[in-house]
Amino acid sequence: MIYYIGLVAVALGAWLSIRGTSSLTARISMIGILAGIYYYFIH
Amino acid sequence: MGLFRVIAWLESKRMKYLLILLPLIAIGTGVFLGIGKIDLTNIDYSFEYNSSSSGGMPSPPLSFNVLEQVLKFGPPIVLSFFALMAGGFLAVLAPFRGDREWSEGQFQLLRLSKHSMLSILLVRLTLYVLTFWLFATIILTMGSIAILRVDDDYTMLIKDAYTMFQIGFWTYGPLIMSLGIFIDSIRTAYYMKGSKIVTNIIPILGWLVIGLAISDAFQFVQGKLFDPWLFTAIRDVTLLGDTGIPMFKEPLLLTVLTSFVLCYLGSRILEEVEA
Amino acid sequence: MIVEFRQVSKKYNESDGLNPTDFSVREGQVIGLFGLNGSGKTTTLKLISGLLQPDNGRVIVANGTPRKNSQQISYLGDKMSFFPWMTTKDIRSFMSVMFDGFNPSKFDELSQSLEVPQKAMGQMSKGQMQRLRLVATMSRQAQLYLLDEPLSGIDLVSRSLIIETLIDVWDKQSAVIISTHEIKEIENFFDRALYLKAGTLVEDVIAEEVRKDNKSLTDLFIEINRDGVN
Repeated sequence: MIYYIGLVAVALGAWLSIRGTSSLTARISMIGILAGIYYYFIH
Repeated sequence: MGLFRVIAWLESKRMKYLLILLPLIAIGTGVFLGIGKIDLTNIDYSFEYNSSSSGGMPSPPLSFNVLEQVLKFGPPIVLSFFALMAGGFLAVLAPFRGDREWSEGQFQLLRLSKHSMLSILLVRLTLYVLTFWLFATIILTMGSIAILRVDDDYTMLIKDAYTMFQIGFWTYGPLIMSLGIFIDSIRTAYYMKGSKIVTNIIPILGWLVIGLAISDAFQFVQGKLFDPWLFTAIRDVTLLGDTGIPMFKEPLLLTVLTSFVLCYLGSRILEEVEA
Repeated sequence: MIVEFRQVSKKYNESDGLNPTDFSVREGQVIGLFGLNGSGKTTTLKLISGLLQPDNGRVIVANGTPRKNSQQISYLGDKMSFFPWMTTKDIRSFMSVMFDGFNPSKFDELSQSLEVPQKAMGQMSKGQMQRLRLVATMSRQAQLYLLDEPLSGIDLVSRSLIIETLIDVWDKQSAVIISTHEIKEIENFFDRALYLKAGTLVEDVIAEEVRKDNKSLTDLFIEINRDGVN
């Protein structure tokens, strides 16, 4: 269950990360950080 | 050289309080280490022998030695350690810039200058690393002097500790600072449009995740390309120019490359951001 | 041609930004970029300066991209500011190192004519700050000067004098684009006017021709924005 909630939270974070800036590199970096959060803390 | 001077000038103004705090910590540590020396050398450690001669349980020599060592070297080690920790904490915070700089438009000014964001970030990184290296070296030197005043048999041990510190600093110092620069660039990118909460969470999450990822990557690369660094460090020490600072080649190279990549990504973000 | 805008557009959301726009700017012209707040003036200047990248189309400045020729553009941005602790003297040294073509003696001369005080930015009044920013911008040797709302914070009496002083020292081999919604006091300085409305370039006129029709640039501005929609 926690995995799914985590996955949804990360997906939401990714969506916000894309909307929150005009910088492509910043978007990619934030998605990388979110993927890291999923890998290190939820997965 | 002009850019270096100007950025040093801007950074010194920005980090005014931090730059006052570092010498204060160093001076405070020095003063306390001086006092510690006088107190410690006058302590009479013979009381345990007296108690054993009067019929009590004799103390094992080992525990006596440990106690003696702790009393002798504890204060300089602990004080230097805390001073370095305080300096390290400030070093982690150093690359983070206030929101005012972005909202008031000083960022726009730098962004339109003839120097690229990359060169500005690299100069900043160099300045941070040199400042904290100087601070840490002063603390370590004072700690070493304090220990040697107590007992000069430890010259070799201190020399080794010093070498290990330099290796550790040059391996992880630039990495921590450039990571700070990179995360602060991401924060800036979101500050322009995003909410304050998001921009304040980014540094914490960023540090955690990127720190873990880099540490994993380092371990992986070190395991694949060369032996774990601690074992080869002593064997493969090389000298950096004529300064006599011992360096360890491979992790240093890896650190320089990673720091450059982080600064490059940071500069890309700052150039892409809407100013 | 110093600036060429070819089908340039930039959208922040559905209503804000700039719709596909074409225009070009030659040397020797002082151009007014007029429009209400939110009409796309700042976006246009940011696109020319290279601070913004267009969604579509091409911006050409001095035969190259704005990024490549950034030192040919002297920009006074809406947000651009020096550090509050910087004194006039500090700004002079800062500009010399950070920007190409900065002329320190021109800076001194202009600071004197515009009565910029020798103190820290943070201690100046809004008008003094704005004058200092104008002096710093105009003390650079560039092909293009972009002034975004240069008169904000400056009192009505000094407006005309300040613009006159700046235009006097301006090198006629370059072009000046001034974005403002306060046209009246300075309208005689313009050679050409671009009118923006809701992100669209609605009029591109030669000032002399408007004046020949016994109209002023201000009249035209009111006419265009009469319905109040922006």
